[in-house]
Amino acid sequence: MDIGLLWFEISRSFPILSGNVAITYSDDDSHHQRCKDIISLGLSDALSEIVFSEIQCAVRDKIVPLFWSNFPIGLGITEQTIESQFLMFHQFASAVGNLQKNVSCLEIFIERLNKLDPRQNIDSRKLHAILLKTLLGQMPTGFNEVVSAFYCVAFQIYIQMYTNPTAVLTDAELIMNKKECSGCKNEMNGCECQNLDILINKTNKALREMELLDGIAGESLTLLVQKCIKGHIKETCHGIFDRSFLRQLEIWLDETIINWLRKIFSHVCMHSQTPETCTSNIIKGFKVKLTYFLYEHLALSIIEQFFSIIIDFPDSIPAIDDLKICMEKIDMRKHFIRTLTNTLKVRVLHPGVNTMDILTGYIAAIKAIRYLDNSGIILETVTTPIRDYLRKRSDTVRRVVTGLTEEGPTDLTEELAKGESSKENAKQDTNDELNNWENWLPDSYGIDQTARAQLINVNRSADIISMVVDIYGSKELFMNEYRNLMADRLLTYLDFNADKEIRNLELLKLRFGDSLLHSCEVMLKDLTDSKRINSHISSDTKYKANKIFDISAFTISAQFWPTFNKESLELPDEIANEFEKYTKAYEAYKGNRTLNWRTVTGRVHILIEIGQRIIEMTVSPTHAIILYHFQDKDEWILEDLSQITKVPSTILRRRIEFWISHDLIKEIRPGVFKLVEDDGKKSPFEKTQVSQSLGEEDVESAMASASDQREEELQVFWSYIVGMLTNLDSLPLDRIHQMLKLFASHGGGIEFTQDELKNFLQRKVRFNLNPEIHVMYAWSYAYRSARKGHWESLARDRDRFRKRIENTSKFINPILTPEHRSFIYNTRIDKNM
Amino acid sequence: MKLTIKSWTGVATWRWIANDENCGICRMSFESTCPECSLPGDDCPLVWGVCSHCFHMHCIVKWLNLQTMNKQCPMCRQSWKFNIH
Amino acid sequence: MLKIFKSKKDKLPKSEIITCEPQVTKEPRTKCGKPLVLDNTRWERRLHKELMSLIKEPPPGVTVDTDSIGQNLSEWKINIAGFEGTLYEGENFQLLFKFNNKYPFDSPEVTFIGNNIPVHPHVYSNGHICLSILTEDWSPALSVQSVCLSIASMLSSCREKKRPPDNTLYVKTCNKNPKKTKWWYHDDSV
Repeated sequence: MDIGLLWFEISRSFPILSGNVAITYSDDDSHHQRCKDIISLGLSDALSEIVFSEIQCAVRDKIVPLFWSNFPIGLGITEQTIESQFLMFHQFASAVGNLQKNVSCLEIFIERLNKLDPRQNIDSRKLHAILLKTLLGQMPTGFNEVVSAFYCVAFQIYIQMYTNPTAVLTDAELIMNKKECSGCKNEMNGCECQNLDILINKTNKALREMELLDGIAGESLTLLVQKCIKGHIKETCHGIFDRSFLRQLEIWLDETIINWLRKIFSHVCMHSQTPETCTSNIIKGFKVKLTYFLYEHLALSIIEQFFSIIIDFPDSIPAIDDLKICMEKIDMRKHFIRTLTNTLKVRVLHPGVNTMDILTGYIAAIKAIRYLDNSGIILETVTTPIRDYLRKRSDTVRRVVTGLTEEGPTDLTEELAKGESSKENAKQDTNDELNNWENWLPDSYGIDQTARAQLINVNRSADIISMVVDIYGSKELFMNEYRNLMADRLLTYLDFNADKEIRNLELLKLRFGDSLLHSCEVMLKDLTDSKRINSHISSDTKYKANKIFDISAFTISAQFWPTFNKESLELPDEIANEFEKYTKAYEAYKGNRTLNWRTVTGRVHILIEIGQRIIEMTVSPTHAIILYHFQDKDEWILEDLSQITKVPSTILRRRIEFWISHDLIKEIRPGVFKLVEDDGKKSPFEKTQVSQSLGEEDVESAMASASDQREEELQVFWSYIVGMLTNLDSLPLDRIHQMLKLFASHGGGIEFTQDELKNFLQRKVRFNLNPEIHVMYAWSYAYRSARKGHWESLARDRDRFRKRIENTSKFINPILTPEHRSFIYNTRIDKNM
Repeated sequence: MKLTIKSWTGVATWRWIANDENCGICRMSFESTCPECSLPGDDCPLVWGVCSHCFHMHCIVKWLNLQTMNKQCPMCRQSWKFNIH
Repeated sequence: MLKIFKSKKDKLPKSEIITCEPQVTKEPRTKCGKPLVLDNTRWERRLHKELMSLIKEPPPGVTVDTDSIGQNLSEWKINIAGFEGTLYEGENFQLLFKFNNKYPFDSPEVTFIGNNIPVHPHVYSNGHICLSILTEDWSPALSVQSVCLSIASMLSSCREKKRPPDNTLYVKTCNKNPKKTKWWYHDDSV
């Protein structure tokens, strides 16, 4: 047989041998005949190899590049305009179409090859695999954009055609906007959705048949779907916390996305499994993954907005429910803690926020987080920074105590009122924990281990009040502050009405125990006692007859009240006499007891008749006394007044300002004050000026400020320290601290840290400001000569040798004397001769 | 100008009239309670002896109960008799 | 100067006899009707105050050994230096004070400890001290400070350094607690 002819015949069967991919369908019979010939020649092996490699070359060099040439080199455009999207859509569709045509040709070759040599059994799967590998090997960078554009459009069209749009359009929108179809973005009249849908289906089918769907489209598909889900979550759930979205989202996922994927993936397999089960397996896989993705993103979205959720609590409970369910499936705890801590730090824990607001936020956070996670671990970790920050604020204690006791329902008062029942429960819990060891469960997984170590001793079931008080780690501080506040309140208002106080005190005692609040009890008892004493004394006839004005006194037991501030006021004689009378009546009533008046505190009800005006007011004693002195003299110099009332000038001036603002006194010259007899002739300028200093009355605390009290306590310790150091010369700081702790623990709860002690002691260290100076004169010449030089070593040697010589000469000198020598000579040497 | 004081609500601290600050037995201030009481004043009063030494009533009573014969004042060891008037 | 003693190991010290009545089950109440806070911490306050004042303003020659003070203040060690011009000049002694929960109604237990027990006619070689205010003449108005001063003055007024005549017998047969010893005070001159 002629080789040339044979070759011609073969290449008619396999046009690919001549590089021609396209095929004309020649009749099979002739092919059959040719095959027989080839087999008889024994060339089947060689031929099939050649053909196969030609196929591969064709795939590599022709088909795949052709396919890829449809795709632009990576443009890096993330946002695609609608036009470019459609452009790429069509490009992709046509590219895939061409690919399919070529591949189907190749499949015919494979078929024929198989007929030629059944042993080889190359099937289309192998071809597809080669195709996929080659495609992936030559993938250009712009590839994904096109594919995602394609599927984007496909999705839009799908939504338009197959789902019911849930948004209800208003009439206006209908008229104005909805001229274009949201699927194909054409005008409503020329909607091409149908055609595009057909095109999409065809492309998908082609991809499926070539088994390229996963390889090419898989990634973009996944990304697209995920983006879709995220967008949908954001659209529907963002900012709305009072509904639960989980169910709704799951349904949406199922209906929209899964169905679409199902459409794409149907009939994907043509091999061993039946198409339906294959599809459903793939879809199932997708569904599981996407459901988890949904949960994760819902959780992320909620976590991001958790701060607003805290603020909206308890309205936002459905959102927290959603989060709870999501977190059961996916462990987002660390992320949650981290995000929330960060948000709080940025939005709450900075100087721009009121302490009261931070406290409210803290309480709301406790409630919300406890609802989310009952075990209290997250709560601890998240609230620790808040607590640390609150500790640094100086007015925290005061705010908490005020919040606990003030008018109207605040969070804290509610909690306090609820407190009675829950206290017993709390006690039960701690006992149960120890008895219930069989049911003990370890803490949830995923918490940062280092933080865990610090949480061990925390009582997790502590309620809100304890958590708030726990900010400082000790109740004593709060009780002290409460005591101070209560003392202030009682002394400022002086209205002898204590019911509210008593009620609050009882509630606090239930919560915190008796011993800490003992002084408050005594304070309230003083109040009731004073009332009784006042009524008794005012009914005392002897006293009643004598007095000029009514005095009622608030007698207090000094030991149980906080220390007073150091102000003083000297009463004029007439008034002092009145107080004497009261004191005498008191002494008569209560044997063996007497009163020390604190003149500067109190309320005085006075009647002022000046010029044409008659004014009735209630003022503090200092104000009253100032005005009293103005009765005697119209004009006063500040220093004189200060001397006679024993009030320091600065404070006196402040008090006089009060009268100035009431138009009763004016400052005619700096430091000189005069009564204003008549009003009305003031210039408007002056009037506006004084109204600045009006405002609420200057209600200052009668008690020493907290820092003063602290100073005093430290002063007490100072005397001990002096004693200790006198006896023991010197002590390291921790020894001193230990010893003082020993005293403090017995003495009654004065607490301080080692740092405070160090600061305090450092302040006590003083330099001697008048040191004795001994002046040292140094002559420069002498200084220079006294510098070291080699002469020093010479001198040293000299000295050393001198010493040696001395020592040795003690023994040798006697021997060397002439007498001794002659003696020896005579006795020993001469003799021998 | 005339200023009339209609009424005055003042504040005063009460104290016992004693020649000392602290009770010799419990060493607490007289105005504070003895170690066994919780409210000062009428509920934890002072008593004087004829030797003019004074103590918290509870403190001195406790001491006297512990002495079988010749009850003595802790300070001066004179025979103790309550000074009541 | 003769000291005969009888060891009263079986008989309880006087102060305990009276209070050993059958315990009344009713909860003790203060005058105001509130339950009595029977914690010893209230009376411990006095001990605490005494300790602080000793540290703050110690009498001459007296120093508190703060390291030795236990958590509940019931045992103190105090160092005493012999005064100038006395027989014990230059010597240092250590006293152990033990307080029970009836202090100040019951006297503290005071003994000399350490390796230097002063040689004094009223001080036995095991450290027990024969001093009336430590047993019979105790009054709650006395304090640790006053006891230290009394002991110091007892040492200072000594004219001759010698041990008590019945020292050996006493040391062999006495009770560890010097308060259980029935002292006969014969000599007021030392």
